[in-house]
Amino acid sequence: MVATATAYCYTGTDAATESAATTYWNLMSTDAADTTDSVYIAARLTAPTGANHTYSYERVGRIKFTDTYNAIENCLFWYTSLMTGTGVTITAGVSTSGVTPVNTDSAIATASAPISEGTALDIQNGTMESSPDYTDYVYLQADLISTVGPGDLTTSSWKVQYDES
Amino acid sequence: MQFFTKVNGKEFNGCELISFNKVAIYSGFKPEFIKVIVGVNVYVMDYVLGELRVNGSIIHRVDKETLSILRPICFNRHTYDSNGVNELIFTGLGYQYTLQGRNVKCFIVLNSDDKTFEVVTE
Repeated sequence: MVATATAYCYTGTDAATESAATTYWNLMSTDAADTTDSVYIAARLTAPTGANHTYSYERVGRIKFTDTYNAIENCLFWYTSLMTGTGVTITAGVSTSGVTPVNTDSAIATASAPISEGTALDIQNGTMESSPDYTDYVYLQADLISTVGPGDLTTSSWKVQYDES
Repeated sequence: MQFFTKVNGKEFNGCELISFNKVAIYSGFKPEFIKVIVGVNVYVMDYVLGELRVNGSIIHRVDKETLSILRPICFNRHTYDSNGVNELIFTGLGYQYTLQGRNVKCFIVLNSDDKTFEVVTE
């Protein structure tokens, strides 16, 4: 008995549109999934001027567990490497339900994205004892200020940890 | 490594019956204890007394009130990452209980070398 974990993105009203399976949780100027890791090139973020901010659309993701298991517990999310650069901040948060992604200052992704297991987001979706089931929603957002440099940001890697029984 | 469990008064040599990879073994019954022998070290999770003992010394104990809500746990801890890689980090054997509204786990960890253990409370 082994559970299968698969990552998805969610877009649209109430983040109700599930993408094809994808681990590319790119932060873009459009509310679209980037399952081919290529859409971000056209959907790039523009540096703001003055004291303004540019926000990416919130990237909404969660993990689906399928196949056979008794329980999934202790689901955590964090970045093992996080894009860095002048003028860029990546924020993160958790929602128990789908909320329409916005490209204004997120009300969900309000904290700096965690970069260690010790500060990981708790994405356990209550009692997960039937298959299939999902974690809570992870909300991510890029916050740019005018000092941001041009070009691609460093690729970031995230990790989800869970206990299966 | 030797692995024993006792269920309904009958002791089994778990090496024949139970694999660490078959984490469903505790679904239908509650073992009285689980004993793992690794080299010269003997780890016992005693679900009747609510104790974790290592070489006879009590490393962790729950009070009598907690015994009724003590439940055996056997789980595989995995990670799944943005490269799509799913990795088994370790297998844990132990018990879980509720303390002041918080779930507490005490377990022994089978490390990836398949030989060594450590005791964890979280």
